[in-house]
Amino acid sequence: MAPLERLGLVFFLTAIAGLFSVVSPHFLAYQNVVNILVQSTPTLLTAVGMTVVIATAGIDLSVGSVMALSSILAALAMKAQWPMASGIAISLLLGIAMGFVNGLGVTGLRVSPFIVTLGTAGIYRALALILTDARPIYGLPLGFRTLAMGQIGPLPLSVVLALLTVLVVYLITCWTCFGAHARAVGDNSQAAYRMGVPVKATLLWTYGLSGATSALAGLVIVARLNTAEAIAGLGIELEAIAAVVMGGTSFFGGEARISGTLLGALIMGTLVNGLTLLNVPSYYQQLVTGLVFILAVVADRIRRGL
Amino acid sequence: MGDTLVRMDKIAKRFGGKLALRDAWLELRSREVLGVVGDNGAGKSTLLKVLAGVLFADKGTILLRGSPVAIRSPRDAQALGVEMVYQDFALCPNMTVWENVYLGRYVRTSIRRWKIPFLAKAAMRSHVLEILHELGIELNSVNEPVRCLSGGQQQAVAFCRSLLFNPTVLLLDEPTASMAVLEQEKILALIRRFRERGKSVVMVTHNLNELFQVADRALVLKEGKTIWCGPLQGLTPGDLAHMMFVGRSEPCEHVLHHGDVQGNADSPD
Ligand SMILES: Nc1ncnc2c1ncn2[C@@H]1O[C@H](COP(=O)(O)OP(=O)(O)OP(=O)(O)O)[C@@H](O)[C@H]1O
Ligand SMILES: [Mg+2]
Repeated sequence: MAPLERLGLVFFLTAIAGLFSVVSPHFLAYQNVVNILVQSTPTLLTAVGMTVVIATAGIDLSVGSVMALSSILAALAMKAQWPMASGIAISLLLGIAMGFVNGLGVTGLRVSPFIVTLGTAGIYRALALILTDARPIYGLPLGFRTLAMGQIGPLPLSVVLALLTVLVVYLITCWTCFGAHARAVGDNSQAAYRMGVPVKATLLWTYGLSGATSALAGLVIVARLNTAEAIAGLGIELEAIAAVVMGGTSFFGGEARISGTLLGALIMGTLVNGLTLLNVPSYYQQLVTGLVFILAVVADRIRRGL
Repeated sequence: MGDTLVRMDKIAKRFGGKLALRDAWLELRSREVLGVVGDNGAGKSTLLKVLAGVLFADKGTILLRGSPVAIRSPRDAQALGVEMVYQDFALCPNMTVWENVYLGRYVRTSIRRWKIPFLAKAAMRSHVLEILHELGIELNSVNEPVRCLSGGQQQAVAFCRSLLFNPTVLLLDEPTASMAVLEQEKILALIRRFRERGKSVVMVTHNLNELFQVADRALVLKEGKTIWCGPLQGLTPGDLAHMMFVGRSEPCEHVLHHGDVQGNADSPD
């Protein structure tokens, strides 16, 4: 069943790519394909962490805010002449820490993940604005910007990094205790608890993982724009969740389809890119994202016969 | 039948305003099948869950082979060799048979030199197949999600899981409820085999005929209290039913004289 769904997504992706290439001759140009990959990278990274969160029957609405706050602190550190490696480490550790705060809210306060991460999304975003006085931070070290400008073979470094992250998270969900525990907690948390699964620790690390991939997404964007700003990643949670659900991971929890998420993120990126090539204004793109998201959720419902 | 293996004393458990257990006790001997009976809501499942570490009693003590033990989590119970098959089987519907069987106790391995541990899927799969085969249970594949299985097959998975780490105490919460008669026979045969292998079994049931077929002794719970515990010899299902619904009274007085009743029996009223 799963391979068939994946085939369906590949077919869908090919179909929209075919459509766009007929309408716009530039669509399949090498540079544009690379563009699609580069533009999909932040969505893909946040969506990969989100997949594991959704597998635990949770949700993380704070991914965009985590992107902003973690990358701003990294940028401030690097502007203060800290070495590049420590800047990157700061951002990733902060991402994990912000994820832990989400996880603590979910496990400790017994509040639904939706509410907890909606709240922290506001808090993290506000902190980012306060810290920068709502002013962008320009001019990061050249070394750091190779994250965006570097190439590995035919692919940009950021794209390779994102694909490696996808691979690592895939291996985590399928081949580690943590991955199996995350799916079990989403499937039947009571059964998981009764069988001795450390439910709280599993949730904590799941949100930590989502924080880490969001922080990575933040770094990629900052490197690409050479600017850290408090409004980075605004609204990206919608794209990420849409990619996850389109990829076949159900909101009901218990499954993590990482390969589906990869395809889902590419479909979202392709749609946005194609619309841009057709000179459709960017505010229409949000409309398409929203529609695709709702359609994906409805399709999930129907597929599960609910 | 042998000496006392598990002893639970003066167990109390409150859920909000509801006292599920007030003064429950239990004595399980080695190599025996102990039947637990009582009306709906008497606290049977709650008592078993306390022993399985899923619920933590507000009061009371648990002794294992005479020494007090603290069971604060399912892991504690597992470590002491206590396994439970739950009334609802406690399965994850989207996960495969082997993932459910090993849930919480996955076996890991790592490639030589690389110190990164990952799931030893092949080993776990083949061990699950072994246990299923030993139990005489046929499944098409251990890689199927549990939601695709029939009720009986799901129960088989739950049984398989409880036997994985060779437990000494097996707790079965209504193992034959919702099963066809043929399946019931299979399960009772299985319980007898556990006893032959030296395990002790506690079985909650509403079916008194079945209880008399398989159990050595029985325990009667009423409104959160243990009102009777003793051997089934010389009793009829009617005597037990009377105790369950009316309380301790004449029909079982003769058992008292055998000296098998311990402690806090309720006065008949
Ligand atoms: N998690 C819980 N929260 C609140 N009340 C509970 C909980 N679990 C059990 N109870 C209550 O405690 C009492 C005993 O429940 P328990 O499940 O142990 O009964 P039982 O003897 O197993 O009944 P049955 O034969 O119906 O399975 C019931 O009144 C039940 O409503
Ligand atoms: Mg019960």
